[in-house]
Amino acid sequence: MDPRRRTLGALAVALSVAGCGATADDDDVDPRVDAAPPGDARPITCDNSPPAWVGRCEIAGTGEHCTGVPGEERVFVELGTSDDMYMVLGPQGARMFVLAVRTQDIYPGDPDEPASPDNPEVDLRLGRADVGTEIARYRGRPLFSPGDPGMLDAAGLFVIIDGTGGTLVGEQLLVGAEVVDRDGEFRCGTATFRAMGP
Amino acid sequence: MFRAFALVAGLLASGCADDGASVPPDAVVYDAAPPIDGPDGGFVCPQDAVRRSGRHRLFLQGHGATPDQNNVYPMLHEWGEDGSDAILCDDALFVDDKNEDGVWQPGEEPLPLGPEALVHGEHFLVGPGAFAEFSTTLCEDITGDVTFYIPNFDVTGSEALHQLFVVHDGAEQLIAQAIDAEAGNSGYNPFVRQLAGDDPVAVPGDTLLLRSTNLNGYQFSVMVWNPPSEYESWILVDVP
Repeated sequence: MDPRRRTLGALAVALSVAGCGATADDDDVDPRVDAAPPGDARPITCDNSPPAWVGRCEIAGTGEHCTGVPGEERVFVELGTSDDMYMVLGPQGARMFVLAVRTQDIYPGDPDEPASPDNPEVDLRLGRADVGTEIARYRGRPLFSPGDPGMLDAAGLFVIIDGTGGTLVGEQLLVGAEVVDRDGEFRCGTATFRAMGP
Repeated sequence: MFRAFALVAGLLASGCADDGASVPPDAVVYDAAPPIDGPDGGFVCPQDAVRRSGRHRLFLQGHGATPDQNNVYPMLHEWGEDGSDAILCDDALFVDDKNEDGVWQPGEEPLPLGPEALVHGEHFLVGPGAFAEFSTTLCEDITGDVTFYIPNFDVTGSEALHQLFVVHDGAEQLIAQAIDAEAGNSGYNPFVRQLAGDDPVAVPGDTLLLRSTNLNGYQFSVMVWNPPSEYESWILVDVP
């Protein structure tokens, strides 16, 4: 492959911000009107199931937001109703929120197998609080680790915002978390926060 | 020349059957292959499903496309108007067939072709355990012979697991898997593997599912870059 072509491609990706999702048609759509992708128009809600709590991700002992650099020690931090949440920029310009989930009494997963179906499946859906439908989503099988006594945490869950990331600054957002472990134990929860730059 | 091929591809839509069946030129697009009834009598083979003997090239849809409610993206598999072999399945046209044997082999690069319906957008897998899924419907059983061709944006140290399953009534049969631990350079170098996997037991209506998972949190994405380009991801499966 022509290295120059590769470089140009990488540059184009970097300039495209997020590099995915945006089309010419998107420019004509007010994201406030209906930002939910047709894939899942369910409202972001949680019933009376046993709880999961959505928090933010901090680098242990520093108070700094998680950045995505592999190896950083990530911990769950409880999210207050009026807290701000800062987006981080990925290496290709995508904005993302780095979240964490806490729950209890589930099978936490296999620490040696990140892709193991025994790991709990976590589904995070993010939307504007006043609309309540999905604009971004994370799915993964992260390992849950012991947190506060009796609690299990998964920190460093990256919800990637496509081309609309910049429009979210200052907006009140709603995030819903669903956790299902290998035995079918279900947990859910929601949280709100104000989106902050970059 | 590539533009000409792309134009032909656009005009024809593509398919991968090898029986060479012909139908009148005014036949309805995508209607060349008869529906296949499933065991429950109610199943009708979808238009873009895997059917007919031969090798099928299935393109992974980009992130800008519409996933289903479970956030699973389609594998694109289009059929020709006349039910004949698809241009995108013809390796003599689809790749720079260096040895001119008409069969794609590792080391031969795709030409910038691709289905018209393919949408741009790479799938970022950020954080250990993050995954993306792609699926299509099987109307025939397949062999365990599988090829992965997955350009990616990664860094040295990244590890991603690609797994192909047949899903029947919610149960996953693993057909083949491979770990991409190749040294990355933040380019779009493809991860290419030809695998002799486990021959599944598939029935019409089963789902073919590809799951790509970030294993260690290093930067990795499954590329679908501004089609038609050579930075598209696809797999090959065989119907006996």
